[in-house]
Amino acid sequence: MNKKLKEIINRPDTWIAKQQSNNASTSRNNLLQDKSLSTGFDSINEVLHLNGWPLGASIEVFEEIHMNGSMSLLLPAMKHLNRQNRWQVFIAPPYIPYAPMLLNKGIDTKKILLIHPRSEEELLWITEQALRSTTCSTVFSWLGSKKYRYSDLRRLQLAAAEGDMLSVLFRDGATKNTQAPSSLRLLINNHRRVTVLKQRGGKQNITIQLANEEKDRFKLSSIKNLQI
Amino acid sequence: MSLWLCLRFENFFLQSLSLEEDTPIAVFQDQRIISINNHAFFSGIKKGLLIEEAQALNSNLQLLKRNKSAEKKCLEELCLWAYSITPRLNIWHNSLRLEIGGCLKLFGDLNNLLSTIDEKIMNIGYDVRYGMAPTAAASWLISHRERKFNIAFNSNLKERISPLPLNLLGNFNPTINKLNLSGLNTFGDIIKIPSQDLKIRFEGSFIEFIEYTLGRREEIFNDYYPKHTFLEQQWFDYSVRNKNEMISSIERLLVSLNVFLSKMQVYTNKICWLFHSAGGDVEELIIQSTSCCANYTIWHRLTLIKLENQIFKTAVEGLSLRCENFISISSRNFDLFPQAETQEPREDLLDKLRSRLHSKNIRRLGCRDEHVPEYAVYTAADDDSRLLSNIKNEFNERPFWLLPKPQQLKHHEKKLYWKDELHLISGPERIEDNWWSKPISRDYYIAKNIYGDHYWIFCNRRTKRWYIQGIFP
Repeated sequence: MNKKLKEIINRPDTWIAKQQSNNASTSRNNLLQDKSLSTGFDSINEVLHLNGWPLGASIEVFEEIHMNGSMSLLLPAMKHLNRQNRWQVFIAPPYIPYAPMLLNKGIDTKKILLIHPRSEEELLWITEQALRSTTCSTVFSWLGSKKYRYSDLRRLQLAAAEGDMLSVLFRDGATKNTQAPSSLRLLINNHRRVTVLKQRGGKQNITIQLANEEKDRFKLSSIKNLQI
Repeated sequence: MSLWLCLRFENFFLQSLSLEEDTPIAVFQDQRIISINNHAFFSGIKKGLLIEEAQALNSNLQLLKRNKSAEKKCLEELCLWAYSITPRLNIWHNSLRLEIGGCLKLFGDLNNLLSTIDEKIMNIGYDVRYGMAPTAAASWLISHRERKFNIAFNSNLKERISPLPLNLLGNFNPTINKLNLSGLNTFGDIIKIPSQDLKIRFEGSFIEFIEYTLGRREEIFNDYYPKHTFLEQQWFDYSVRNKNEMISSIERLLVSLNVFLSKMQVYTNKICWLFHSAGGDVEELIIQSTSCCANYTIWHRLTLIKLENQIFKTAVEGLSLRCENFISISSRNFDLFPQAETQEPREDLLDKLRSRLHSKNIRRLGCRDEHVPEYAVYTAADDDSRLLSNIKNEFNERPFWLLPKPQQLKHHEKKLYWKDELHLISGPERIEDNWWSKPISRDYYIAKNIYGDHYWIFCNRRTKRWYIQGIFP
């Protein structure tokens, strides 16, 4: 095969029909395996084109009002990437990550950086710098409810494409209909319910309801007679 | 074995000011020409002429006044370069005298060392005469005799200096005049006289010089030692308001700093830019790097980031770069097994961010061995070395997010609200602490809203008020 053509085919953003049918796509799949990371949830892996979170590409996560559960989707990946000696950067996080909980999950908090920008311009600049740096394994950036220009998001996508990190941009659900160059766009509009709005080279508009972990999770004593 | 190399800069008065050869240039002092370039020489101009006489010979002659501070600066730079070859060196009459016997192993052999020196001198463009001898004083004298390196430095020293005229020792003029009157004109004439006779007849310092030259006495002098501050300036020819116009000067100064650091064999973690306004005001811009470095690219990048946010009150007329914090290369530790995942040091990102943000905006996450949740977690400045992360408690389910301060919940008709109605699904877990100062007694519960989001809430057992403190992922 022509070398240039092979390079194009091996790009993670090139979609090939009937991938299982030939050797070229098999080798490509092996290559793409390195550009993705298991989400830690089989049901999500199944619907994702790369069988996991794409690395070196920006992922947008839209959270509807009151939704704060998206980090549960990312915790397994965060734990996995924490093994690397690289930063895990939280840009403009809504609250403080609870360090004892992270430690208990096996995440070294010394590798976590919390950056608090003073303006939207700074927020974009910091996100871009973190994405361009090879020193980060994870970049989580909370962009909020502002409708950013396509060119701004394109810069972030290009910056993410330079590296091999997990890059997630958290945005307000109200902005989900705006255009964006991200490889993957997810909507969380209910507890542990994820909708794939867009994915390059993969299926779209699929909703996954993750199993509720309550029974396993909260092994505290049952609520006693309580007077609120 | 002691071996000295003298680098004598022949046209130093002129070449410390200009290396131009296309136009006739001469340097004057006390109305007389003291140094000329080749172009001026071919016009018939000679040292010692009066300015007017020189101008009469060539009307295009460019005249420069001798500038001692420029000479001093050039010598400083040369010493700094020479210091990277040998730590034993000193300045003598616009010459550098380097003890190279002790660094031959470092360079492999004498030929390698000499070719390194020759190459550098060729690049600088100065007219240099070389002299090699077992003593520093003799190396200077021999530099008047030999134009290039003479590897036969070990041959009889007396024979080599014998033909040299005594007039070379201008600072012993009264003695030299007396000797000339006695018919003694060369060093050879002096060497023949028994030293005891010389000591009786001539002044002490002249005799000392002869003894130093012949190695009968060890010459004691202060070796050059590099200064502990880097400070260089660039002046614009006009007032600058546009930061882009400063960039080329910034780059020049950074290159200069880089050369300085490399020759000093040191690193730095802090540089300071000084922007001079016409009114004499100076604005400071400090750049710091977590990783001590002598890397031009890092300082260039950090400076440009920080400069972007710098607001100048007035136009800038000049720019200085100052550096005082140096760390010896030998005192740095390097990782034997560098991490494969990162191509750049982790600190690079911190430096980049710190150049634009206040340090309070860049935080690291720490953990304390405390029961009360708000005390168990803390954020600290990015360079706080006291961060702890090895505390591992076996505790019950904990939220991912912690609110900076517990927020009181709305409590209405025996129902709890935080944006939406909350239902308790698990609890309580009692946390009590701080009994010795401000007692804390709380019952923690996990609650969820109608969308299924889970929250960590507590009831203050003393006030009976409810608060939300954490959010589960």
